[in-house]
Amino acid sequence: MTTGSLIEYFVNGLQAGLLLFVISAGLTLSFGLMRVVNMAHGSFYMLGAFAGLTVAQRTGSFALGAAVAVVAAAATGWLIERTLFRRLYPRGPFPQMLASLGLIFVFDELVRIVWGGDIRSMPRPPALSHSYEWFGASLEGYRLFLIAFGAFVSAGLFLGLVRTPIGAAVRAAVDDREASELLGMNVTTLFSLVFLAGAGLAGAAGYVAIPLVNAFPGMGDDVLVSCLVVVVIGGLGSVLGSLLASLLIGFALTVGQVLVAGYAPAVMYGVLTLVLLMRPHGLLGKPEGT
Amino acid sequence: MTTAANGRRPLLHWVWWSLAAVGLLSAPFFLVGSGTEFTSDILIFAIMAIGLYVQIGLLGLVNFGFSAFYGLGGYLGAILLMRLSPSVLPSLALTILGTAAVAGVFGWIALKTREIAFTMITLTFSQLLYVLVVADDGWTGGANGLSGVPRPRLPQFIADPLGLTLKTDAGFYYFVLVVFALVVWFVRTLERSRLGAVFAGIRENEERMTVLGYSAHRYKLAGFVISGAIGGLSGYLNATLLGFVGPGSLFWTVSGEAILMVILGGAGFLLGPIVGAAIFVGLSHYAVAYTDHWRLFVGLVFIALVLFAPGGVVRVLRDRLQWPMTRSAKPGNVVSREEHTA
Repeated sequence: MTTGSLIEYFVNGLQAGLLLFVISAGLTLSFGLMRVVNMAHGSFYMLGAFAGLTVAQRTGSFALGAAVAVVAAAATGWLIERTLFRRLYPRGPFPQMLASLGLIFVFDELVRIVWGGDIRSMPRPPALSHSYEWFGASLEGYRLFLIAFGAFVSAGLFLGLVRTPIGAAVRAAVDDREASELLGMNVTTLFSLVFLAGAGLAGAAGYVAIPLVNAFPGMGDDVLVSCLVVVVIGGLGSVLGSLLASLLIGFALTVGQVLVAGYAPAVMYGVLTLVLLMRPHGLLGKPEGT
Repeated sequence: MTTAANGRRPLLHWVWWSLAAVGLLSAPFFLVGSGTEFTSDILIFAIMAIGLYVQIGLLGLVNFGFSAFYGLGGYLGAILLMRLSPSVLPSLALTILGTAAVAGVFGWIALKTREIAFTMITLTFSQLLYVLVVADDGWTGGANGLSGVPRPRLPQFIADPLGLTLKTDAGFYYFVLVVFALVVWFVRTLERSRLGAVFAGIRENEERMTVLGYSAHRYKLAGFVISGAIGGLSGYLNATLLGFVGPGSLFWTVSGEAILMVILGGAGFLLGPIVGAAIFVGLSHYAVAYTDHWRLFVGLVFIALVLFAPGGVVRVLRDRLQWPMTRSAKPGNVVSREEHTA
């Protein structure tokens, strides 16, 4: 095992973990804030990818595609929250999960109708296609870009949560929704905002991931499982927990890929099971009901 | 329509069920083409849905990873039939036992968690099996699955005197019908037994049951194992019907379809998953003729159902349209109940 390959594994794991965090952040916040588990979260990932891809192919602009990806996913998220989830809050988590299950069917099929069932690919933008040599490791420019993207989003998210009034409001509402409402906070609107932001992030991640994993109907279903693992391990509702869990999973999957090839995801599920057995509330989560 | 004051069901009830029974028994005689195979398909998925119903409807456990048992049953059955013995009894028995054992392990782990975490961990279990099956080429055929799964052979003392075989559409259909009838009888008996009452108690108010002295964990595990075993049974039947089993049967979206069938029909009645399976399988076969995109329609109907008619189709038929079916229903189910606020 050379230094070069070690560096490569580290970089790949970091990139996978950060990207996973970007996708999962929305799900974590949705759950922490409103106890909503949106099984169709992967659909935002997929819709962002396809919308952005179409625009990027038409206009030739990677950046424009990214912008459209975010907007499309966020808009869809807002729409679903307003029309569907809002009606289901008083009914508890299971009707929400079930309704979002229906949404998966709907969105997967919608994408098939509009874009067809084929796998779509997108080349890396020329500016990000170089490889860099570093201590014997060959590092892809695009992966470094993804790391920068993930780090930027994470930093932005944490700064936003810790330094801004809205962030404070979100944290307060996650901690104790009733008290926040009593203090006059409009938690419902706040949640709409959080939900659509989370959707937008997932859409962005879906778009930037296309050069690596391609786009196809149902791509969100696979990603959702990793997101759920992250959210559960990290602690339902804890953003820091999701970051740690995402990195853990990212590294586990990357290293697992090298060590045990196709069995790598099984390692991830093994980690999940272990964590849940030892700490049923996740690494940093709060017990349900508090 | 419910029971009369003296507790006897109305005549219409018996007529309805007799017609259904006659219809099912004579199906191969009047169905043309692939009609018999299609009916077998419905029955197999009905069995699967009933298995899930034991968990969701009776115990209130929302399992998003039921495909694990369904797929496992298919793979176990296929491997046993092709490598051990083509006879029905050993392969079927071992498949059920194997699935039940795995369900025991999964259940023991998953039941340590509550509600949402339980749902997620069950989902990951089915994905775990999916990944394992795809990664291993030797036994499971990897991403391509196993084809050429033979129809099981009936034991000599049954087959010979009457010349029965499972190789024909009709022969296999009756086999499935017998299994279906047994499963329905079993679950119905379970529902009405003391064990079923404990299950219902756990579903409605687990704390109260614990205070009364019942070990909720043990009963839930028992229900989980029974449910998984039935799921494995349906997987076995599906694999032998099609002669094929693939990793797709383990992917968690198949669990989603199973949940859809149960909720669509109504998670409050044993009839619910049967009706739900019939509707779903029926749509998948016949809607395909009209549109490739029938899933969109089903998804929308499902969402509408969760929003407006969470008791499912059976409840709508019974309460709104006064069709004579089922004597009593549970007060609510996991979908339609309001959440208890602390």
